[in-house]
Amino acid sequence: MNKIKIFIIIACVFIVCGCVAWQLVPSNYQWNNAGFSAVLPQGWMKFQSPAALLFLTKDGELLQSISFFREKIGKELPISKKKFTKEMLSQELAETLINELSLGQNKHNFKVIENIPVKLGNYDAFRLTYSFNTADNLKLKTVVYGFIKKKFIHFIQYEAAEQHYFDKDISTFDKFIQGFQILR
Amino acid sequence: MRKYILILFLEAIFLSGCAGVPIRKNTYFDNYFSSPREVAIMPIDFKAYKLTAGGLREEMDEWEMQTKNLLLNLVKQKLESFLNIKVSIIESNVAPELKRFLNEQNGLYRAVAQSIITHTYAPVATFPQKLKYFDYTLGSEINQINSLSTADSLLFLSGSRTYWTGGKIAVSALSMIAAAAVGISVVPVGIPDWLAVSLVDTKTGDIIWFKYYGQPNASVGDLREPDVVAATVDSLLKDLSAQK
Amino acid sequence: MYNRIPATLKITLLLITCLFTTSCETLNIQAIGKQQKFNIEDDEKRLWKRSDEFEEILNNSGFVFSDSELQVYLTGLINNILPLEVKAIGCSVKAYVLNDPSFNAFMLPNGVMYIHTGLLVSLENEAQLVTVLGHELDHFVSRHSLKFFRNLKNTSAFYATLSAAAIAAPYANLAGLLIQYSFLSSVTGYSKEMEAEADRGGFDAIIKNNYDIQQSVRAFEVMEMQIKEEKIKEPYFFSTHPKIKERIRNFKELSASFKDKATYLGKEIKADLYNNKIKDIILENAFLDIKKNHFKSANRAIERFLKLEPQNPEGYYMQGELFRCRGEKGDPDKALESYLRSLEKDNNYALAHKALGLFYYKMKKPDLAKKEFQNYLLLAPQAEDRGYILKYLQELNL
Repeated sequence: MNKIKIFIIIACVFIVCGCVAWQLVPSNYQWNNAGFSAVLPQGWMKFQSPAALLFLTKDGELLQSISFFREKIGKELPISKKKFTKEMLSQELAETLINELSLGQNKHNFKVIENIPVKLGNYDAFRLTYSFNTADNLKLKTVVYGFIKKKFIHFIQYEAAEQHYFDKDISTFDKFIQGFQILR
Repeated sequence: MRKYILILFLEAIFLSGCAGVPIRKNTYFDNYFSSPREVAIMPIDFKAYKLTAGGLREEMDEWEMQTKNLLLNLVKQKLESFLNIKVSIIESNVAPELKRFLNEQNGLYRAVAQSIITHTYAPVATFPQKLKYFDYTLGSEINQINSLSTADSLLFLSGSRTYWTGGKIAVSALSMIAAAAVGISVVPVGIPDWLAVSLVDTKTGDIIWFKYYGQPNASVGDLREPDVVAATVDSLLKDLSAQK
Repeated sequence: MYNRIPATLKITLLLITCLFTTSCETLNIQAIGKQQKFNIEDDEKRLWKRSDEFEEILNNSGFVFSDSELQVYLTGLINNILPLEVKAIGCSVKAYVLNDPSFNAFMLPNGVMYIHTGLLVSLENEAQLVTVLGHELDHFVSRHSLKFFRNLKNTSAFYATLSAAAIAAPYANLAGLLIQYSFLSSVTGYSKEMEAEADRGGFDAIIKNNYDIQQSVRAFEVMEMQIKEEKIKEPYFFSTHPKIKERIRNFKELSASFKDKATYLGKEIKADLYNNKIKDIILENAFLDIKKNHFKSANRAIERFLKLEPQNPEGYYMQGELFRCRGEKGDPDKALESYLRSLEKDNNYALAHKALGLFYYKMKKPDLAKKEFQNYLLLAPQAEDRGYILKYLQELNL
C-alpha cells in the first residue's frame, strides 16, 4: 500500500482515537481492570495506552505520570536477559529490576535512593525509589512498587521531574497506593 | 511507552499547525509589566539543519550561530523598545557548577515546553484544565539563578529549522512530477520547523507567557536573513508591547 | 504519459537527472600529518562539534569510569603510539574508559577515544591493547569518519534520486541514515578498505613501539574465543563475529608479509604492567558481566583477579555471586564455599555475611541465617537493603 496513504490513515485514526485517547478523570472515579481497582485522582488525565493497564498524568507525561503495567514471569528482560521468577524473594525481584534499569544507556547517573520491602494487600512487594537523568538533562525521580500475582510481575510506578513536580504530586501517588486494591 | 509519547509529540507538532491563536498565558501576565521589570534572555536553544537529497539531516553550526546572533540582537532591541522592560543577557560561558544548573533548568524547560505544545496546542491531545488554568512552572528552584542575574523574569527562546538543499528540492519535485504522471499525488513530508518563546518568573518559576509558532511542511522563514528574523521577532513578541 | 516515452529515453532522462541532482562530495581526503598544516574541512568542523557535544553528554552520564590513573595511562599510551608526523603538527588525543562489559572501543572525529571496560579486561597484555588502540587511532588519523559521512551523503543522494526518477522502485527507506555517525561507525564499522587501512595502522603501532607482533593476532583471537563462548550477539564492531574473523585474517597477512621480520627484535608484551593497570576494573567489569548473564567472561575475570589479589575477600564474594546467579547444578554449594572463603580472608567483609544469610534463609537454616544477618547489620548499619534484612530477622524470630 502507498506509504502516503498509510500515513494519512494513521493520522486519521489518531485524530479520531485522539479524541478519546485522553480522558479527564472526574471526582471519585473508580477504576477497575484485570482484577485490580483504585480511585483515580480527580483532575488528572487518563491515557488509553496499549503498553500499560493504566496511565495517568496531570501536566504531561514528561513531567509526571502514574502508571500500572505488568510483564509475564519467565520472559527474558531485554538488556540483562535475566528473568523474574515466582520463587524470587521481593528483594531479588527488586535487584533484578535494578540490574535491568542500571544497564539502560538512556538512564544517565542512575542511583538507587531507597529499596524496601512492603505489603500491598496480602502480597509481598518491594518499593524502589531511584533517580536518573536523560541525555537531555531532564532529572527524573521514580517510585515503583513491584509484586508477583499469578503469571505476572506487576509494577505501579510514579515518575516525575525531580525539580518541583516530584514533590508536588507524591502525596497523590501515596493516596492512590493506599486505595489500590487487588481483587482476585 | 516513551516511543509512543514521542509519536504523540510529533503528531502534535504536525497537527498543531492547524491550531488558531498561539499564545498561552497565566493569570498574572496581563499586569506583569504594569511596573518596571528586568527580563534576562537565556542562551538561545536553536538548531539549524541541512536536509540533503538522500534524506540525511546535518546540523549546521554556522547557520545556528547566524540565527542565534540575529535573534539575540533583535529580541533585545524589541524588548528594550517596550515600556517598563529592562533587558539583560545570560551568558552561556559560566563556571561549571552554574553551567550544570543552567543545563538542568534547560532540561526541565524543554520538557515543560513540550508538554505545553502537546497538551495545549495539539487538538488531539489537549488537556482542557491546562488550557483553562495555564499553570505550568519550573518551580521556585529556578531562583538560584540570582547568582547569575537579578532579573524578574527569564526569556526562553527555542526552535528548529531545517533547510532543504537544492538536491533535496529537486528530488522531491522529481518525486511529485513522476508520481503525478501516473496519477498519484505526493505530499512532501518534511521535519516540522518551529519556534517557541516564553517568559518565566524567576521567583516562582511560573511560565507566565508562552508562544508557539510553527507549522509542518511550511517554513518559518529563512532565519538566516535579517529581515525575516526581524519580522519573526515582531510577531513573536508583539503581545508584550500591549503591556503599558 | 510515462508509458509513451521510449525505454532508451527513459534511461537517458534518468541518468541526466541523477547527474544533475546529486552533488557528490570528494572522498579524496588526506590523512592528518600528511600536510604541513592540518586544514580542517567545513563539514569536518561540524563533525568535531558534534563529537564535542557527544563527549560532554557521555562524560556527564555516569558511564565513564572515574579512575584517573587508568585514564592517564591510556591517554599516555595512545599519544605515545600516535604517528610522529601527527604529533609534529601539534595534534594530541584523549582516552576515556566506559563502564560497559561489551567488547568495544571507538574514536570520535575530534580525537577522543572511548574504551569499554569489557575490551580492556578481555585483553591479556599491553601489546594486544596497542594493536586495538592503533587500529582505532588510524581511523582518526586517516579521517575515516569524514570519508564515511561524505560517502553516506553521496550514496543516499544517489539512491534517493534513482528512486524518485524510477517510478517502479519504492522510495528508499532512509530512516537508518539518520543515526549518529559516531555510534554508527562503532556499531557496524567502516568500509572493508578503511578497516584494512586501520589494521595497517594497528600493525604499525606494534612495530614502531617494539611490541611482539604475534600479540596483534592474539588480541583478536582472544576476543573471538570469548564472543563464541558467550554467544554474544551485540552489534558492537568488535563484538561481531565476521568483523573479528576479518581482523584475524588481516593481521595474519600483515605478520606474514612483514618484510623486516628476520631482523625485528621487538618482543615487548608488558603483561604484568597491564594487569596492574587494569586490576581495579576487573571485578567491576565481572559484576557487569554477571548482570548480563555473561558468566564465562565473569568467571575468567574473577579467576584472573584472584591470581593477582589472592587475599582480597571481594574476589571470592564476587565468585560466590557468579555461582548464585548462574544457578547451574552444583552452583549453590560452590557459592557457599566462595562466601566462606571470602570471610576467611576478612571476617569483616559485610557483603559476604549478607550473602551467607540469604543462602541459609533460602535453605531454611534459621539459626545460621539469623547469625549472618545480624553480623551484616552490625558491620553495615546503614545498608541500603536494611529493610529486607530486618524483615527476614523478624520472620526468623517468630
